[in-house]
Amino acid sequence: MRFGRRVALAGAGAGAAGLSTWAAMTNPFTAGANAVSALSLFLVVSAAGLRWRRARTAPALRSGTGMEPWWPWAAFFLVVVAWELTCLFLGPRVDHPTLSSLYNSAARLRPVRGACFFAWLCLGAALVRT
Amino acid sequence: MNAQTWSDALWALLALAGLVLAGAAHLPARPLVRASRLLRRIEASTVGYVAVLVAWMWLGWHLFAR
Repeated sequence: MRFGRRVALAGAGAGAAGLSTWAAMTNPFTAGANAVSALSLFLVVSAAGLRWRRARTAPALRSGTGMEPWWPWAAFFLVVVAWELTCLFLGPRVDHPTLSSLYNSAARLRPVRGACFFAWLCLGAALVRT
Repeated sequence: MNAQTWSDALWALLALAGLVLAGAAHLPARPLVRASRLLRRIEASTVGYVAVLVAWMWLGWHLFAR
């Protein structure tokens, strides 16, 4: 790996850690939470926009055409979405928690909130690298 | 068992199923595609890339700002 790339990666990692620490100290529905979320969105979407012109030449998604079967993932996500919607409309939330309410319970601990924010930023970075 | 226990059990089962799928995708026989490879295939088209990016944006705003 080239030196410049290593420096850029280290800088991005440090920046993500700083943003995650900031996010861990905020509460939803506050100006601080809005600011750290908006800044992260702006940074990742800007980076994605800069790479917009990169050629995307991979073939269409299809089972059995040079790729292992993907239908188990599709079935899994369908079940997750179906159960999420069931919980959303079934209520009350304490009896039927959605993924968001499960996250909210866990994110009362600030380190968990910061770790989730960092994981979300890593996902964003993966989208930019694509 | 009450409704909350059933719900929690089902979420735990789904989480376990996700881990099993991720593990199975890394077996030498590769019975299914890896999630990362599947995501890259979806992102290969412009529409797919924008959809994934918007989903990522919504997730972050929903969890951390709202």
